[in-house]
Amino acid sequence: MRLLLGKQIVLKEFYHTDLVVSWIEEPVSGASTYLIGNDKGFMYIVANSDEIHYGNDSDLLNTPFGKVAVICSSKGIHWELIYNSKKSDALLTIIFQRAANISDVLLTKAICWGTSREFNIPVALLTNHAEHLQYQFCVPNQGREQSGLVYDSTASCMIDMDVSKTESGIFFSVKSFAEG
Amino acid sequence: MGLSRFLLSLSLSRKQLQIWLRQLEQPFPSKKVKGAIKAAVVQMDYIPVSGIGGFVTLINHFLVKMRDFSPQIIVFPHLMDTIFYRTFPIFLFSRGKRYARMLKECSVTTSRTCEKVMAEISKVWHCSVIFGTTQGLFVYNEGVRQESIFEVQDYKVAVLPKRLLTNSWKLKQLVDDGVRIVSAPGFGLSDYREWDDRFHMWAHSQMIGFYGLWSAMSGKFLGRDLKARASVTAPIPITNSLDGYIVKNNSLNGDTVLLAELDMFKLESFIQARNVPVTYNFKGH
Repeated sequence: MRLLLGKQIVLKEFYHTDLVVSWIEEPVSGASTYLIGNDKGFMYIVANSDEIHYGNDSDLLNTPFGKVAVICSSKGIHWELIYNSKKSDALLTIIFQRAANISDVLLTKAICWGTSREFNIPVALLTNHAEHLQYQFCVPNQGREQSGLVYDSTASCMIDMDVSKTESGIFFSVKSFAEG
Repeated sequence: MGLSRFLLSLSLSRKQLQIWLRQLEQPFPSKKVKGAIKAAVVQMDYIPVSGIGGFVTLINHFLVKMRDFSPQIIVFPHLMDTIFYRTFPIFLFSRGKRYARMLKECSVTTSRTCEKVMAEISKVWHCSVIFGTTQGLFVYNEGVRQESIFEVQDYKVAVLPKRLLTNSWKLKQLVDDGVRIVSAPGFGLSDYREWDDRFHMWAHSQMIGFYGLWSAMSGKFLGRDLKARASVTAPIPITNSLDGYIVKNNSLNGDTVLLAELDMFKLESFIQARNVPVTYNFKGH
């Protein structure tokens, strides 16, 4: 699955993009599926199809790439909620959060990283603090020095992610294209 | 082997102990602050010493550094009794299976001696001393051994092995039961990695909400170069630098005493603000 976290920067990004995950005020076009959300709710759109799914708070989506859990919140994110998404067989948890202050942003990032690593689940975080967006993407045992932190920035990012499920567990393979 | 144990018990005899315990550093008079717990966390470079005299001299080196602060909790590293490994007759043996077997047999004596020194510190300093030996983790308060969960100034403190620091369910249960400080006597690793280290105490301080006391032993140990970073962790919003650390060692080795005054009111309001039951379970469509 090729995933874009953020907004459109250059057109070439949208060739063969499978899923675009954007904050609601950041319109995009050109991909095959979209997940647009904010702290109050989300909209999941499949291109060239009538399929549109709306939701608020938290929900589980069945996408062509597997189950995706969505969490929308204007408060702190609890690790148990992310754990519950893992229990429901979600392969990816996406969080839209509006943070009141910078300490909440940092705390949420730490919780997402710790939970992703402990419970073996990829977590994408889009957090809005004072109308500035920050993106974080955590995948267990991936990223520099296998830290589990693939991406953490204010700029958009394209990520190639493969999730394979076998009898011995779930394996992740991730490649990020931070250059855009 | 029986002879080695006998010789070691002579080197670490009760008489020797009584003589050397009088040499322990004395604390300055302390003042307790309401709603705050004073903690001292030790990181030390491993250095084997001979006998109780060497051990007490080494410990004094750290006690002097915390004397003005008068801590209510002192956390020493894990495997503190291995410091006795230069004592007669342990040092006569080189490495190998025989050496390993002898260390195992002597560990009861070294651990007991270490416990007695630590118990005396807790008595003289009127505080709780947390440490580890080859026989496990220990807590002494005012000379009396405590359970792994004990109270300091009406606040519960839990002493846990490192492996339990990555178990959010266990830690949540402890915090729900009133534990506010989690302490883990640590021991360095030859393949130390910063992110792995953060995942234990630091990450779970954020996820669950508690003060973390993480001591460490670093330096050369049985031919291995150990690295570690002692720290006092807390949830990011209640730390001054917003990094989740009240204080941490800036280096991965060396002798350091970290002193921290833990504001229990701040932690309590953080826990209350986040105490919302999570019931949603993603039923899906």
